[in-house]
Amino acid sequence: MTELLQSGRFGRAFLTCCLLLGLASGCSSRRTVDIDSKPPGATIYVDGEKKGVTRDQISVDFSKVDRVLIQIVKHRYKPILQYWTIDEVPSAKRVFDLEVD
Amino acid sequence: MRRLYFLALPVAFLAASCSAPQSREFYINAVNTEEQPIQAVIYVDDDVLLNQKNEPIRTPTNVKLTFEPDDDGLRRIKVSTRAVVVDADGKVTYGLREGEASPYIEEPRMVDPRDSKDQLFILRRNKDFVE
Repeated sequence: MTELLQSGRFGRAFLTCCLLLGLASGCSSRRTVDIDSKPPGATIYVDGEKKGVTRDQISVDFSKVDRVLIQIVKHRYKPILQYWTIDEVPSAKRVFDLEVD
Repeated sequence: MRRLYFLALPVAFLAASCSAPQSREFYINAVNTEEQPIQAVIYVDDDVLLNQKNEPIRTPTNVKLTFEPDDDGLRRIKVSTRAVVVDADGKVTYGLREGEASPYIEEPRMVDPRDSKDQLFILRRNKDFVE
């Protein structure tokens, strides 16, 4: 053990572990969120791409954009449009109240 | 001291790139709340986009936007789509002239240079529309 510490290999291994843990926990550019609506059955678009139907869990990728455009659409209801930055992604479920059009 | 010369070039390049306009292509599309494609023309900063024949460009299409620098970086650009009525040849017959209502309600948005390439406009039906 003393030899390992003195050789510097322990320090390097420790730093590598810290770096990997940091990347895995805080530095990810992907967020997952449950999206629901009242009434349910609305289509979820993220940056113009159909991602699912409420209630669904969707994954949002911020690696290439600063913000994403969330659109919730259901026929005979007013569509909802929201921009989310990575810090604005709800940590739990997000429920959208749709208004009759 | 010599190292500073090496630093000066990238710093100057960075400063120039921050203050220069930047162009980026976006894919503009429009659908209604039934998620069906609709014919719409595109407005950029309240001006309708025209092709080389001076005809309005319709969705879906790729559009190149040029972002001008401002105090916060690059200025966002106002983009909107306006649904129109077209004939069998794709020529706009209604919805562009003054006083003509659009079959769908416009939804302008401020596009950021770092936004996604795909810009989908979901338009609600204009209940007051009478052709």
